[in-house]
Amino acid sequence: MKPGEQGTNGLRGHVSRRSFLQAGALGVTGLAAVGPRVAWAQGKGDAKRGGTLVVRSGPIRGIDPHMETWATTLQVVHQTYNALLKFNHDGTKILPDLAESWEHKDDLTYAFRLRQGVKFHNVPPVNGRELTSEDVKYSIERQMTNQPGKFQHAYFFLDKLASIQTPDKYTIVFKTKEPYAPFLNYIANPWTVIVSREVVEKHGDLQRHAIGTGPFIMQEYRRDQEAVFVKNPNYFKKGLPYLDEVRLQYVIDPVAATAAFRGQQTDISYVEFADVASIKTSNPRVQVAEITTMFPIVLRTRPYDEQRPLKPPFTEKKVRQAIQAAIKQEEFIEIVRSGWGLTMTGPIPTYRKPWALPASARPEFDLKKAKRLLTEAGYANGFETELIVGSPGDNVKSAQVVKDQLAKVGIQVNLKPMEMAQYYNKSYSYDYSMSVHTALTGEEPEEAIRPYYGANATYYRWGNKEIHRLIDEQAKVLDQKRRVEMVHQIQRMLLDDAPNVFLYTPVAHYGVQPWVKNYTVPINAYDQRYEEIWLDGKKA
Amino acid sequence: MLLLPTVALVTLLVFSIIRLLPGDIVTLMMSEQGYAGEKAKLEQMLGLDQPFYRQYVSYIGKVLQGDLGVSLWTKEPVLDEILRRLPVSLELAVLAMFFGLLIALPTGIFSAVRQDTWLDYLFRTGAIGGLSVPGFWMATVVIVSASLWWQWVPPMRFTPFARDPVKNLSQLLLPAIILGFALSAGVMRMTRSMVLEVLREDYVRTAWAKGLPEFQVIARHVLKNAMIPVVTVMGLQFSALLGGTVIMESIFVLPGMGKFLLDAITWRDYPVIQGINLFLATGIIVLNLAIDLVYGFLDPRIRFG
Amino acid sequence: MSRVFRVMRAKPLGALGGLLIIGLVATALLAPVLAPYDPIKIKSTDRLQAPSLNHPLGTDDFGRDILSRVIYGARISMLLGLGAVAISTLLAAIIGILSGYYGGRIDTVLQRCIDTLMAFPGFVVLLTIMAMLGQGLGNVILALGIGATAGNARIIRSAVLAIRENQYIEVARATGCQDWQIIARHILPNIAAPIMVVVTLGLGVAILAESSLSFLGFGVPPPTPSWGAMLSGSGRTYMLQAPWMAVFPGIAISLAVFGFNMLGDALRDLLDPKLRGGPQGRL
Repeated sequence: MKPGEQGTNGLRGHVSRRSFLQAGALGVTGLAAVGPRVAWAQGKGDAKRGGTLVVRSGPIRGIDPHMETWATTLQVVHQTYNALLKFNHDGTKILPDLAESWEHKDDLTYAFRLRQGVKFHNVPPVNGRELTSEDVKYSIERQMTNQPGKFQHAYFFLDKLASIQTPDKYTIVFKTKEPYAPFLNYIANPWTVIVSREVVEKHGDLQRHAIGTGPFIMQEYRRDQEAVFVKNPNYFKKGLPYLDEVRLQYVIDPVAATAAFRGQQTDISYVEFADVASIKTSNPRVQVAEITTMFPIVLRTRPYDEQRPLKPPFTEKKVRQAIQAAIKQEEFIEIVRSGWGLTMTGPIPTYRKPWALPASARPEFDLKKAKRLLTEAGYANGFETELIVGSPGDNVKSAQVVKDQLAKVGIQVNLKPMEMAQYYNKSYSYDYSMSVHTALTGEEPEEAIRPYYGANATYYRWGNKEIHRLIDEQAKVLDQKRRVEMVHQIQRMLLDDAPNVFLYTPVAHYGVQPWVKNYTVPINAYDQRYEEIWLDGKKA
Repeated sequence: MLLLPTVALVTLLVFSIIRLLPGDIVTLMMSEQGYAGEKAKLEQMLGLDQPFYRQYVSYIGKVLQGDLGVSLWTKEPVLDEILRRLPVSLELAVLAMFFGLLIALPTGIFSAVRQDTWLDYLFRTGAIGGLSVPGFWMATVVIVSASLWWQWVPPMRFTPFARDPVKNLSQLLLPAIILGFALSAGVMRMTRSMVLEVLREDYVRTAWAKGLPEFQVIARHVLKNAMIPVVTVMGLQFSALLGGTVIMESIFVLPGMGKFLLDAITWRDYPVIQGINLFLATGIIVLNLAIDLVYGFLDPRIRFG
Repeated sequence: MSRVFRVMRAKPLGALGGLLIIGLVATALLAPVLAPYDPIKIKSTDRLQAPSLNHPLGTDDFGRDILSRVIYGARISMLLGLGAVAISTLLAAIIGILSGYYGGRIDTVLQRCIDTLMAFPGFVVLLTIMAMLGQGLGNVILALGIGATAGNARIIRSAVLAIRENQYIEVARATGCQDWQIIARHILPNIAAPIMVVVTLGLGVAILAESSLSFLGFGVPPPTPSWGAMLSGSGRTYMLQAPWMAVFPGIAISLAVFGFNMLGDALRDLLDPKLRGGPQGRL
């Protein structure tokens, strides 16, 4: 691979601004399987300096990038840290950040040349010292810490690296044990940021402190109120950031959040689809970006591995396949999202070509087949089971649709909504019969597969050893064409085994005020970088 | 001190109830916060490895020294967190009481003085109306309408009163009025019935007979005596108010104790749940004591009775 | 019958309240007959329809008929209210009677316990109980019931205290009546009045409290059609697009609470011996 070339998915954003503007009618589009749409809130002329950007934020647990998985954490992380590499806004290209250039020297070796003169924030305990390759090594090693459940992104590199060498201050060389296709994607992943050893050693972890090399310095952090960041005067990208301040405003109630956006209290905000029409009418100059999210909704059945054997009725593959056949994806999109969603052909969302399975692979909706499968499995009269779901949220609605659909084949689903905390408790202890869950995917195709169905999966467990083996193997295949075939094969096996039924991929909306310039809402909701934004015409 | 046994019972209740919350915090923290594999260490940190009574005793000991523990999630001392948020809830509650009284007293008195007239019915219906609409709904309608028609929304960033009274009030005014409105119903009816009762008393009838102007009769004789039960109701309402701020704080993004408690319950932050309950309960007991003293002031009969 | 009309004319608001409540109860009881559609069945083709002849109150985001859901919601509200009030009144009566009648040590201890419970803001108690029990209609009823017990216990206790002083109690005791007989024959009937008031008002409170709990995510779980859940959930989300989803359950809640409060007020006015002018023994 040559420097600058992307080792990613091939996500093509083939929707232009014009087609976005044309697709203005809401709630009518239904099931168009379009690619991700982007909004350009672009400014002309010179950038203006100064001002405060207010972004809507939500519940956050901690701000340690190596431990957390929620997007709100990254809202903080991306202001204060940099990464070696990052993706562009639609995930089609890898761009340099801290790394000036990189080389995939041979199958196993990746060499990065770091920028010189990058300084950490001038804040104790780092006090503005220069970032070196040692810091990069430290961060990657920390990210790989083998504590499942605690360091949630360890699977990126854990057990894959043979060595990390730092021949000099600005050079770092990674050697993988075997060819590792996802390597660059994981380096560019929004979670792989470079932290400083001193802060970790001083505070034990990074859950409440964020000191890095980023464009903004954290001034105030109150978990359930707001986080305030001020401009880093020594930022290594000369001239950036344009903004003086970034403020993450915590608003939990979605109605209040939309009102806040309408009332011009937030500059960038996630908005509910039900409010999009009225926002556009009352503030016509506002840009509303439609983003196909990377977080599909999944109906999961009981996880299983060696320690957790399957329990009837889920021991029968036919039962799981029957459930799959009884599910009608379109109804979820219609009811829960008023049409704002995409159907799915497998764990990898359909827009991620070529990795996603083609439309023809989609499990058929066939009630007769479902009933037949159930009868063959010995459950002609259906059965009763419990479904857990985290509340509040859209997933509770999806759960109701599941209940309604499965009732048609005689499966009685008892809904058990529970507070998020309790839900995740049960989810991570793999203790449930069925659940409706929001899955995580990424630019790297195996992100949707390995942490769920692989041998050492953490988010879910599926004990099919053949699938484990294939997942292991596909990571070693550098030839994209062959790898795509293997990933397809894995997905087909998953559809056949049917531990999970993939319901839909939501399309979300982000409001951007007209005075926010030079900002493209990224497809990856994890990307929260604002360093290139400037404000023009915002009332104080 | 009759208060002591009550307070002691409060602490015992708070302490034991928390332990009954399902979703064991250790497992939760292990999976969420990522303390996987350190179950024993975590239990020790939370003091959960000791038998119940010993935990309780050590807890009481710390409380008496002003140490309400450390929040499991923010790692800040619970007392500090509470004290930081208390002013917000207090301000909201006080403002709500103010508006509540502002609405309730005049309407209650008018209603009583003009009993069974259309004005009386109007006010009573209005009062019940305020009671019948859930607070979050009123808040929703107001916020959405304001943002839709005037592009205005109360600021969602809290500014302490001292720093910028205008900004502070513009955020708190709306929730205070809404809460006050709901509050006013009970107070208004109580005021009305007390005024009615006092109006029938002999000494008031004497004042009428003497030809004193209506206003003077009310001000001098009626109010003082009618206020006693009103004060009781206010006291009760205040306690209800402190809990009722949860919803307003959620919607209007106020960093108060109500929301804090809600978060603590959601995340099973035991020390915080305990701390807040203890704090609130003790506060209310003290408040009731204060009210009793106010009684004494208002009604000499009670003082010497 | 004419007496009833006389009372109604004297207390028109109370009468109005009473009528509303009768309507509520009737709706709840006759729900399967009155409701034109199944309140739970999902029909994705009928989503978000404005009120029309087919669907007089419109449909929600699941395509369910709102009129039917509001009608069945009456059932849930009555269940909630009656359940909560039954629990709280029973517990409160036991505590209040024991406390008021026996006095002494029992009274002091029970009073301390009541004071303890009353020291917690009601909503805090509700939240904590719901967090312990988890979502579910039964749990909401239990939580609401327990939450209201302390206050009601105090009211009943003072009512019992007031009666205990009466002479005929002394007489009954003197003539060797057993405690339980006295309680059953003399105390209970005389505290029926404050209990009725407490019950009526408590029903309104329960319905309101459920909607607040729903808003915070602790209410009755879907797909059960509770007014509170309809108002605080999808009703809010689709407020601008489909206001009928929230307006009608909101009106239902308001009418019900209004009715209970007016009725309770009128009952209190009617049954309070002081306001009637003159002491009376039994009702």
